[in-house]
Formats: sequence, C-alpha cells, structure tokens
Amino acid sequence: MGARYSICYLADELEQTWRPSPAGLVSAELPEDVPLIAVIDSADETHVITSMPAVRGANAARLLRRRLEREFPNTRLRLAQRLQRRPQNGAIDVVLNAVTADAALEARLNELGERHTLRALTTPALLVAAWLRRARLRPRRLLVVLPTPAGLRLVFIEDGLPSLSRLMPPIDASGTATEIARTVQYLQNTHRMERDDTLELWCCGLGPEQAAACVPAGISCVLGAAPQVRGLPDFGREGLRALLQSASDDTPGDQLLPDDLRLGWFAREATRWSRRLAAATLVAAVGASALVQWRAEELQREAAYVRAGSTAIAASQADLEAKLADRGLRLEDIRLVPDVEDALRGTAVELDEVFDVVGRAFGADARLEIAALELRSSPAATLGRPPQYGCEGEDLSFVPAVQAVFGVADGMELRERAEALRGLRERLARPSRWQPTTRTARVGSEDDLLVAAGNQSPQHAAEWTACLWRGDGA
Amino acid sequence: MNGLPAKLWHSKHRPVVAAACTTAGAALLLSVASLGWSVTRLQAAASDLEIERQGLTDVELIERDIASLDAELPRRETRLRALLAGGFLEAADRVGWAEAVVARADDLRPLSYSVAIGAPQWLPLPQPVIERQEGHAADERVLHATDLALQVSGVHEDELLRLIEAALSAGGGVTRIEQCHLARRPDDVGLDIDCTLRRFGLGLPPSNAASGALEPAS
Repeated sequence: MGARYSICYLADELEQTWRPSPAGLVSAELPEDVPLIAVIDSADETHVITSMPAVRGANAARLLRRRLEREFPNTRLRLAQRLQRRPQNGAIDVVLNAVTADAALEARLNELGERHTLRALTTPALLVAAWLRRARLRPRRLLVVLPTPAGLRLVFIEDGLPSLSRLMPPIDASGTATEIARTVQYLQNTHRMERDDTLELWCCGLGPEQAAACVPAGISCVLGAAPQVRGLPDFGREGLRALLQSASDDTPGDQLLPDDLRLGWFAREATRWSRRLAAATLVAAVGASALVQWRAEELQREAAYVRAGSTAIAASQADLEAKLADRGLRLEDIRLVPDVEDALRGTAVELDEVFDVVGRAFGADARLEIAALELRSSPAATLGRPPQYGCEGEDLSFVPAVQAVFGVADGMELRERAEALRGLRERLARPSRWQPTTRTARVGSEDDLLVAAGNQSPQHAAEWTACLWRGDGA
Repeated sequence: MNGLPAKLWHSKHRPVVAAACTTAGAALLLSVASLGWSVTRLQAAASDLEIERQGLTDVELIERDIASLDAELPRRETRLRALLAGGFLEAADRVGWAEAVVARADDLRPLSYSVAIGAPQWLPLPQPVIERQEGHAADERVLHATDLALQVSGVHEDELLRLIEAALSAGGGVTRIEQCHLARRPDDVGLDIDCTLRRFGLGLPPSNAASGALEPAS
C-alpha cells in the first residue's frame, strides 16, 4: 500500500512536515486540508505500568478511562495499552501513556486541527511499538536507541509495548553508552528487569560502528538489529524515518488524540464510508434488480409459451368450426343436439316394450287380469295432468315408469289367489331392465285376509297397483 | 466513541456529515425503489403467468372436449343431419301433425277418438346436457315442447301400437310418449286410451315467451 497520510513532526521549537508520494515521504509544506498524523517528540512523555482487574467490554473501557484520569488529570493526550501477559490473581497489567502538552503545543495542535484533518497523534515510542506489531515481533525486553531531530530517544519495550521513553539532547557515542547504562540500572532498580537478564539493544538509524560504540561496558547488553521485514521500511537502517514512513503507510492504531480533536477525521471517514456504502448498496440493488428482472423475464417467456399453447388450442377449435361451417354445420350443434336427443329418448317410455314386460309378468298367469296401465316419461310432479293411479308412498320421480292396475279372476279361493300373487312377485323379481318398487316387490304378501261367510258366496275381489321403473332411466 | 455522532453534528463538520448521510440515504432509497420496481414487475409477471395458466387449464378442457367430439364426429354428424332433416331446429307443424294423427285414427275406425294439440311451451335443457355444456360458450337454446293429446276408445292392442308409432313418426323433431293411460273396456271391446305425446325441438326463446313452469325436461 502506498503512503496515505502526511506527517507533521513536532518537538520543542522544531517542526517538520512530510507529504506522501509514490516514492515515499518527501519533505514538503502541507497544503490545506490533508489527512495528517502528528508525531510529538517531547521530553514530557510518561509511561506508567499498573495493574487493574481483568474485566471485559464496556466496564474495562470505563475502568481504563478512570485510571487514566486519575493518573494524568492535567492532560488530554493520554492512552492506555494492555500488556500481553497472562492475568495473575485476576489482574492484568496495563501501560498508561501520556504526553504533557504546554500551551504552545496545544495551540499548534488546534491550528493543525483547524487547517487539516488530524487522523492521529503519536510519539516515537508508540511508533516503535506499531512497527514491531506490523513486523509481528513481540520482544519481551528490548531497548531501542533512536536518533530524532530533537535529540536521542531511548525506548524500553516490554512485551511489545513501550514502558519507558527518555529524550536526551544530541550526545556522542560514549554519552549514549552512559545513558544506556543509567537506564538499565533504573530498570533493574525498579525490578522491570533482573540483574542477570541480558538486554537486547537496537541502535536504529546509526551506522554499525556508532552502534557498537553505544554498547555500555559492564552491562549485560547484547547488540541486536531490527530485522528487515518484507513490505516494511528498514527500521534498523533508517531509524525514525522508517517509523514515519510506516505510520504514513498504515493506520497507526494506538494514538493519543481524544475524539474531540479528531472530528474532522471522523467527518472525512463518514463521507468516505457513505460513498462506499452508497456504491455497494447501488451495486447490490442493481444486481438484485437484474436477478429479479431476469426471473420476471423468465416468467414472461413462460407466460408467452402458455399463451401460445392456448392460442394453438383455440386455433384448432376454430379449424374444426371452419370445417363444419364448410359442411353447413355448427360446432355448437354437433356438441349439443345429439346430447339433447340422448337425454330425451333416454327417459322415454316405449309402448311395445311395456306391453312385453307386462305380458311376461302378468300375462303368464291367466288368473291375473290387467285393468289399466299408466305410463309416463317424466316425473309425476311435472306432468300436465296427475297420474290417475299412484303408488302410494312410492317415489314418483323415477322415469320412465309404469303403473299396472290388476286384479285376480273371480271365484278364486284364498290359497289360489295367494299362489297367483306369489308367482307374480317371483316373475317381477327376475333380473330385467324394469324393476319393481319396494312396495310392488311385496304386492299381495301383506294384505289383510278376509273370509266372510253367510248366505252369499264369498267375495275376494281386490285390486292392486304394481309400479315398475326402468333401471337405466333417470 | 461516546456521543461521537452528537459531537460531529454540533461541530463545524455538520454539513459534511449531513452530505454523507444524504448520500447514503439517497443511495439506499434509490436501491429500495429499484428493487421495489423490479419486485412489482416480477409480481405482475407471476400474476400474468397464473392467469395464462388458468386460461390454459380452461382451454385444455375445451381441447379434450374437441378431441372427443372429433372422435365421434362422423356419428354425431349423421345424427345431427337426421335430426335437422326431421325438423328438430324448427317449430312443430302442429296442423300437419294433427292431420296425420287424425288420418291414422280414422283408418282404425274406433268407437271414438279426439286429437288436440296445445300451444308450445318453453322448457330448459335436460340437466345432464346442462352439466356437459359447462365450460363451453353458452348456447342459449332451450327446448320448445308441443303436446298432442290423443284419446281413443275401443282400440286393440296391436292397432294401438301402430297408431302410436305413426303419431310419433309424424311429430318430427324428437317425439315421445309423455304420459299414457290405458284401460280395459268393461265390455271388453279393446282398450280406452288417453295419451299425451310431446314433440321437442331446440330454439331460442322469444323475448315474451310465456313458458309453463320451467321444469327441467327429464
């Protein structure tokens, strides 16, 4: 990723600015309203290691704010960083960082905030930690010697974070060694390191001979070097410039500026993200709309296909109608007329068939005499005149139907009469198109039997009605 | 980040923040509108398709009906032509029918006879035909029925059969025995009959048709 942010380096009565370019940072005046990272190289930088309960989430943030407020009540430029150590006894170690800004520095920061978009405020010590994080290094103890325009800075890195940072005026190599020795002694006295611990020393931005001359005698120090990491500036060779280049390339992460002084940055980010969101939303909407449109077109094609099928069927009907019209016929007549004929003739009673049925049922026994027949092709309720004979209690809606009124010959004895009627019932029960009604099937079997004697001949005259209906009618 | 949006809103950067919100909001609205329009179009297409499918279902019924008609076409055409020749789509020739029946009755020389033809009446089509016609273009035809009342005294059975057969043939259209009462004469000189023959035809009802009670023809 190319450099993105301009850098403004601030020290006592000293200010330098760099602008990003394809070739890296170039020293230049800053135009108006550029995104800017301010780097403060101040002797009033303080680091305090403290413990706090291992809480999470919003409680942890509140606790850190309170601890910072308590430790550094007079400055807004402060930051808490958690040391990556295993919690002990439910407590974690944090480093509280602060830079005391005098009136001039405050005024300069406000001016920068007005003229440009302040992205972050950091220090050389924090930049060292950021470089180590990008390089995926987390040294347990490391002392970095870093020449800066304001002098010489010593940064003690503890578990990847700066816990001590000292700025000294420019001194020679022997003076540097002395200061290193004093720093190591201080760390040992404050138990930040053990006396028999060996401390690695990086002299960044110094030549090999200068670096070697910085190693103090009598102190367990080993001269190391910042590794060359692919994709990162060469910290070991370029020193502060590499840190500034690294900060310009990437978001610095931890920084000291409160949100109140970064509103311009947030507004700028809001604009950037709103444009991204708008673009993403529009792209998503266009994509979704395209998908929906494609589906809609598919449905329209299917509808057209179905419509074509319907049209083809309608066309085949029109063809048939045209064929029939050529022969002087209508499709409606072809469909309707024969069906009407079938329906009407289906319930028509045929006189010759009735004679045949009645003859076989009644004519087979000379003892039975038919007095009258009633035929109908429509339900009794629809006839123009009601039937003269009815089947009492029977369903008169069956058609076609025949009612036969009959009697027995005169002079028959009871038994002979019963025999004649029994024979009629048997003949009516035989399988046939014409079925007797339920009552007709029992004709004569439940009659009152009357025998009267006197000086007159017994009279057994009686009349019955047999109702038959054709099973294939309606 | 506590209260950051409020701080931004009350700072000099408000126009920038407002413009950012407007940009995002406008894009969101446009996206919603675009998607909404596409969904509306999809719904319309789906509705269209459903209508076409329903139409196809209806038309497929017609296709099946036409396929079955096509298979029966020769037989139906023959029957239709026979019925048309017999005057099924015409009103009954009442006078001709009466004359034909009177002539045959006269030939039999019964004890007495009477022939009476009433005014035609309009009846709906038989129920099975109405059910079969569902789904097709409505044919508004109805049945028109003309009744011939035939009373003969002293006719023998075989003579009666010939007389009824002749009366049915002379009717034209579709003619059938609607109702018939036959009684043996007390003096055993044949039968007394009282029959109603009904001649059916198909036609369009007149606007002032005075129909009888429109009972469905069985």
